[in-house]
Amino acid sequence: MRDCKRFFKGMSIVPYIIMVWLPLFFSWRETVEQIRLPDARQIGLLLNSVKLGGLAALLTCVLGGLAANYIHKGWLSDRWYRYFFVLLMPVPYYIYALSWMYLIRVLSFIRPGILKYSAQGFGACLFVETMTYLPITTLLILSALEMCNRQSEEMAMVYQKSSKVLWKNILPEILPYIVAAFAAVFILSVTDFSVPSMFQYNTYVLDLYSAYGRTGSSANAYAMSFPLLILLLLPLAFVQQAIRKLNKPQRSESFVKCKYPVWLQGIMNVSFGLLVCQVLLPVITFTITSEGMQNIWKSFDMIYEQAGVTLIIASLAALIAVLCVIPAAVFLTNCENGLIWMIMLGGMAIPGSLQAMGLLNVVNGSWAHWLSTSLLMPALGCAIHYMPIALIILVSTMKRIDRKSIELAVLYEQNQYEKTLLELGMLLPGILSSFLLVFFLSFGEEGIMLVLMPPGAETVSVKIYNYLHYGASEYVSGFCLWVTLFLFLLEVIPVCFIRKRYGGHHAKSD
Amino acid sequence: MKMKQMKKWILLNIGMILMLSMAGCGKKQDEVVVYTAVDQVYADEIFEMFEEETGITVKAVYDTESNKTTGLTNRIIAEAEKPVCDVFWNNEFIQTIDLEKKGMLQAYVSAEADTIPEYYKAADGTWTAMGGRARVFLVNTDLLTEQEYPDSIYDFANDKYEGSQLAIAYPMFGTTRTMAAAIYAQLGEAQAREYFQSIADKGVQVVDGNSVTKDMAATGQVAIGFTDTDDAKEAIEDGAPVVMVFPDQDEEGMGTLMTPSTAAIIKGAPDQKNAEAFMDFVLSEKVERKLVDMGFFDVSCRDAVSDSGIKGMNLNLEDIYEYLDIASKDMETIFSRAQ
Repeated sequence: MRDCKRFFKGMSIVPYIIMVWLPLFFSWRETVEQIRLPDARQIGLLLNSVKLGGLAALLTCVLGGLAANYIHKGWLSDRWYRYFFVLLMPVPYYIYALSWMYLIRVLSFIRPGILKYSAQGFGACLFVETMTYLPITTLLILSALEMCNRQSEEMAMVYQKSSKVLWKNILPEILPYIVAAFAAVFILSVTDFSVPSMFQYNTYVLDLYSAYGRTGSSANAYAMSFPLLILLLLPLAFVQQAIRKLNKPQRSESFVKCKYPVWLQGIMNVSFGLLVCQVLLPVITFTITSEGMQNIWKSFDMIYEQAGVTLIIASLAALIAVLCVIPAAVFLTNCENGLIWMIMLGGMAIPGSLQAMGLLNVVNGSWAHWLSTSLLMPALGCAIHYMPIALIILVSTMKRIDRKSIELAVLYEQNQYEKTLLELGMLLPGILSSFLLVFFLSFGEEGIMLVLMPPGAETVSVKIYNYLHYGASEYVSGFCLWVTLFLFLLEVIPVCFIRKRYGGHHAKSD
Repeated sequence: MKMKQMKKWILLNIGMILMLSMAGCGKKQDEVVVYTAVDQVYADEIFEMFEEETGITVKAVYDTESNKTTGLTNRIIAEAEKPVCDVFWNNEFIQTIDLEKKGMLQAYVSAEADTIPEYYKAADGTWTAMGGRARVFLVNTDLLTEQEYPDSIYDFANDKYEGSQLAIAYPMFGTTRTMAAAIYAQLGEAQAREYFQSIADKGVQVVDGNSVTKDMAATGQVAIGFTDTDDAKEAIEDGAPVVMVFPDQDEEGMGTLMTPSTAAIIKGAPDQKNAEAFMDFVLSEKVERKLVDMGFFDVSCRDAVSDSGIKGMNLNLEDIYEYLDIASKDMETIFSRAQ
């Protein structure tokens, strides 16, 4: 009986693995035949990607950690809006980066000579990528800080300065989260080319897509992405190790007032300032470049239909992802096999558009070809691409659940249905977080949508890019403002729900 | 408590069913599916005209310049077993010929295309071209005087200007890739390779697309952007201090690349009848002139070249296609490299 249970638990990960890896497996023979060692030029591009990804990850972790500590120890620590910095996370990276380019244009109204200093090259690219990914690291590190054992921190501060306690006590405790944040940003940076190409900084992924555009062969593209997969194995290994080491949080009610040295407080203030700029400046830039309320209202008229379509696709994608990920997360929570972890998370390293083309190849030749004329197709593409991220969040939540409380409650519940409901209830924050993250990422997705969008439908990101190309930058700014406002409202609603369900206490610690 | 939970589950299931039903599937009657790389702002107007005239609804799939991944052609190839697209309306010709070579197109010769020159049609009747957009220099008049304007594509490779003053889109994608293939066909492989290598060595700014090139020239970030006329005209209409200069227009010059749009029916198109109706409409002289008036085309292919005042390259479209692969590979080697 126990063996049967174990067998079925193991089988629960099969749908997840099939969905994530099937598009690649579909053309695996052709792919394997086309695998080649990268030449010197491609190695140079890989090194470019590593340099950019590594530095962006390092900077975002340092700045994000300092900003998170500022929030955790400062006046925002018990405010529900302390997570304000995630406001622009769902805006597509390319569009977000564009707002910084527009900033130069806005500044040129004040000082025309500033246009001479065009934003290009490694430095500009690194700056914009840092600002783009800063919310991710800040979010992860802030969550980690809020899970720290405050009592041991208080005791340590009796004997040592706050700065030493930060370095010797707190940092080692939150190190797994910092490592996971570093790896996540590194992977996102290395698999994206839209932002580097804007600043004329060539990376390996640009070459990959160029070859794909030339050959039209997804097998060739998968073969070319193998060096990328191998490169990303190391950060993926760190991510899965970090998650496996997660412990149940040890919260306490006390609030420790810290007194840091002036230089450290100064750096923290600057980091927090950058975090604020990361939200404020793009919003201000979009407002100015939209050139008046008339254009802003006209933009709404032009985008509301696409917003509706994108809402449906993103919701479906999040639903599919969460349903597939729950059984996989149950299995993975108790799994110590590193190889299985890597298989489950490895899908993150494959660029989304390639997965989408692979999915199109699979579906078009099958009995399910009708899917390609429905909104389910792009939803499926987004779900497949973002499932590994949802899996990480859900496994992290499961590892933090207090199992003793469940066991005690189960003593009183004879019905399996009641027991499942109870466990699902405790998992609800994680399920909600996974759902929301996949939702927001799918909302801003462009590459997958272009490949899989059914005829007659258009998403917000595609419309933005089309009008950007046409040169209607005032409408593009208007679109971005409306998207930001729409997503802000969608972010606020779950927060209000959580506050209503769990009360103000929960707002302090989650 | 159990009733409350059951109500929640029922509501959730109803929500899911509603969402799935809104997701929709399948194709309704009297529709035509068009995959188009023509700019949405122009294409939408043509689609509206077609719908008003025929009552057939157009279901469009657009492409974006920033999508370096696949383009619509790769999507059409991926859907080969069960085509979704009826008509492919491309903003250039290279990828249409590519589809023809791969056997993805169906022969259809529209009666409306009788007045289109024969060299603008496929020999096997699988595609027809119309209109034309030229490659052009967009020059910022605040940064350069008339005497300093460029007059040849070689000005991008010689010492006349600093590399930082010039911008061109990545020549591995879109119409710039077509231009690269045309230059290979015109100059020969060796000379063309040398030309592009000079551009790269000079430090010309290679950017994310024609619209970015246009923006950089319009805002004065560069003095000259090498782009298409439809992008250039947008900048002029917006009041930017720019002018269009057509390269190599003198008597000995090679002329500039004139890129026609193309339309073709996909092999196995789900709705043949509506596809033919759309082809007849989009290839008509009325629509071509409309696109000229809207500023998308510079010329009608039905006019003599000399009437437009723009000297085009004397090249066959299929000859340009023959050089596409070698030109693309060289562009990757030259421009996709670590700085």
